Amino acid sequence: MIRRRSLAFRIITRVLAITTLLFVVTLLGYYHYTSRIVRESARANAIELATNLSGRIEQVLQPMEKLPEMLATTLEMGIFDMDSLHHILEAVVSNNPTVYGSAIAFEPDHFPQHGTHYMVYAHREGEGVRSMIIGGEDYNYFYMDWYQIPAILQKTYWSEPYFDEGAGNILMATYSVPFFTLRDGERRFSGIATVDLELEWLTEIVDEARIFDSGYAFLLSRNGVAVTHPDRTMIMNKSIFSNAEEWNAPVMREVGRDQIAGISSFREYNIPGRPKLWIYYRNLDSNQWAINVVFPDREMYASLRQINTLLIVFIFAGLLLLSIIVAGVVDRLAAPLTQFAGSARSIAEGKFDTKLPAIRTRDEMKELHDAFTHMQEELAQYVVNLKEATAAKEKIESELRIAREIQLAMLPHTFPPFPDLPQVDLYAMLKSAKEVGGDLYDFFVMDKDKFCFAIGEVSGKVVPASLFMAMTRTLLRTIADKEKSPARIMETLNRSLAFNNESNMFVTFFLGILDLRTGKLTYANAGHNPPLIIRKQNGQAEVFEPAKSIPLGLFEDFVYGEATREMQPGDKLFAYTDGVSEAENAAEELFGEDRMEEILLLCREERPRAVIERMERAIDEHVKEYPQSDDITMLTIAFNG
Amino acid sequence: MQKHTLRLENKISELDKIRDALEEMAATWGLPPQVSMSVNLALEEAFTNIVNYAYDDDERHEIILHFKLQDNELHIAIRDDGRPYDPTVQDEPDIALPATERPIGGLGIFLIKKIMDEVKYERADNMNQLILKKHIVQ
Amino acid sequence: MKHTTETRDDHMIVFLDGRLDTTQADAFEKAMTGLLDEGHTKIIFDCEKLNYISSSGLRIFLIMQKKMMGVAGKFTVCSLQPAIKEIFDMSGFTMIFNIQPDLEAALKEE
Repeated sequence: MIRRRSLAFRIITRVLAITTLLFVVTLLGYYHYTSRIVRESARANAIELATNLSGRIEQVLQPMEKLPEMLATTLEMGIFDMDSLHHILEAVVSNNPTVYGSAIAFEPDHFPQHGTHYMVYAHREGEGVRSMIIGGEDYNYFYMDWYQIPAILQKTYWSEPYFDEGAGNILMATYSVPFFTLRDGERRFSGIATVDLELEWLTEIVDEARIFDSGYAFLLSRNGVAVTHPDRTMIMNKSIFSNAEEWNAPVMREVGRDQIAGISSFREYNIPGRPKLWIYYRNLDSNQWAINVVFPDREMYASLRQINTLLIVFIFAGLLLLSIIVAGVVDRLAAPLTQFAGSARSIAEGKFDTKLPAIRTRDEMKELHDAFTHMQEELAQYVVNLKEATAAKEKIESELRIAREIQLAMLPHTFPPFPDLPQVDLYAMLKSAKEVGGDLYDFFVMDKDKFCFAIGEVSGKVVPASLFMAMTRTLLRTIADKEKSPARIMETLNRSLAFNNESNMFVTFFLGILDLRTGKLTYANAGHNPPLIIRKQNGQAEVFEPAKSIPLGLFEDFVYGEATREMQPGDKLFAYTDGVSEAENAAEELFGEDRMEEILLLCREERPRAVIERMERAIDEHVKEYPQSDDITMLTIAFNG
Repeated sequence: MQKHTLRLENKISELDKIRDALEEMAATWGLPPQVSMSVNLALEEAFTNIVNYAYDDDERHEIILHFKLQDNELHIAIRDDGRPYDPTVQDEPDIALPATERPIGGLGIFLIKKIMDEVKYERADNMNQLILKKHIVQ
Repeated sequence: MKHTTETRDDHMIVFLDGRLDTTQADAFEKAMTGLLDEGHTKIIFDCEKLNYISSSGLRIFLIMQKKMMGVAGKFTVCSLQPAIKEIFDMSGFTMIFNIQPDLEAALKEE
């Protein structure tokens, strides 16, 4: 589907990136907000649970608080006299399943006729209830916690929970209440009434409480010892403070302290090595025991997580759908692009009449279509023009080529040129850079002993240069028929060329006449590169002095001078144009006169043809593939004597 | 605020008037039935106590009950011109005595204290005044 | 206030009807003393129709409780109207009486 990666893919990835970012931000905000609500609602649930539990426990505990006063009143009103106290206590025990025992213990010497101690105690025994009068030296209850503490504090007192061995190891707690009677018009503390409360029912009530999946409740005594706990081994075991120490959980210590101070709170409850928990605790109204409601963090957020998972699934499904839709839309919108690409390729192959995709919309695609149509028309027109231009150019080029051939044909190119003239061996080469060049050479026999040769280079490399060259060559032959000295030939040639030379073209020119009998070379040089003579005698290269005269064609009346040089049999003369010494390679390095001289010395024993071919190879090696910029012309004459 | 006053003779048979007055108040003031019943009990105990123990003669006396309901609190004042008697302070009960020989009445004041949220005795202008208050939970 | 009695199995059931107030208490107490003298060991007060009780009435309940315990008998109170149950609760007497929600439960109680 995402074929055109660069367009559909890019649009989809960008749209997805932005929407995903938006969703992530929204989700984070949503999660933050809802988790607060969830926490709040969990807190409310925990509070409700604890309050409900507290209410149910208080329903049992609160009547206990009324007992001592009721006992005191019934005593006072005389329905139950001292001797029938056991009846009321037995009734209390037998009518209240949670009460294991109940006692009324009087202050010392309250009934002088009964001695110092007087305590009536009723308790369960098997199926029935048994009562007794106890107290004395063997059971000096005045110093027991359940009596002494409330007596001193003049306040009700809940004992810490304990296992009563006599009652068959039932978990119990004793509730003690001081009671008062009036004597001599004064309200006076008279003793302590107690009920021993079995706590099994508490366990049932508290264990029943559930919050979330595995949340539970437990009751801690004032000292932080578990009164109830779903894990029975915890009951009456270590206090929350020693557990805090053992499990390295300072939060437990704080919770324990809060409960002693009667503070209720909802907070995190982290015990190292266990899943994160939350706790809510509050004290009972009747005593300082604390209801604790604990549940795992994981469960509190379970519903939220579920919703979030669902949301994420929906969002991803939505994003996927969005991607599909965007891909579809982009696909449909961009479909003509593929066709345009095809059309472009087809047009590139030269099919200018290629049919373009049909565009019915009036959008950018339509603009593209129009642009394509325009391009098609322009291209077609251009190609027509180009074809015409090319044809014209080809025509010119072929004509130039022909001109060149004609031009070169004017130069002698049969070697050896004079098989019946053993005194000279000669070879020449002209390698033109363009179709039409400006270099020239020539040689011919003047009289039977005079051998004339020339080399030159016309300034500029254009068509007029070749004409100028052809003119020079033709004039030379004509003039050499009459004049026999190089200077005179030069002057006549110069005059002819300079006459009506409106384009100010000129030609450098070296002309020599060799006396075949004596080896005497008379020459004139009009601004041309000085030739060299390779002496057979010493194997040295002898460079001619630089030209003292200006090139031909500039000033009509210029006077040219001439000079002579002796050539010994075996000596070779080498003349050349700029194209040799200034042959350039890719690094713009020139071939150079030194290199040229070097080559000449290397092949001083060779015949002229071999010398020139050797030089040509050396130039090729230097220039390599770099295009030739100038005509290369070389002429070598060996004097054989 | 609602108010009602009841003037009664010192006769046990006047208890019916207390009952009727409370029933009427329960209906017009919107007191819960439990409240009217327990308040009736408290008033009967207090009234009986006065009729039985307050007077040294056999003359006709007037006992006045003022009722007031304000801010969910029922306020009752009982006034009599009998001899000074504070029912909130009881005589020393001698529980060593056999039951039959002991005076009856302790249970009454015990119930009054349990039923009412506040019980207060005042003596002014040669009159006893027992003030009872109960918070009404609707 | 009137009352009727009925014997069911070995239980003596007393149905209380009306107001048990100071004026009625003496007569009812005498009737109950008579009942005790007959040697019943299981007495049930059915209070379904008892719509008022004064301290004198409560005192009779207390005396019944004490005397029945004296003869190792059983005294049960059942079917208390809410207003009267509240007086029992407020006074703390709930703790010393065997109170059952209805007659059926009272008869089953052993």
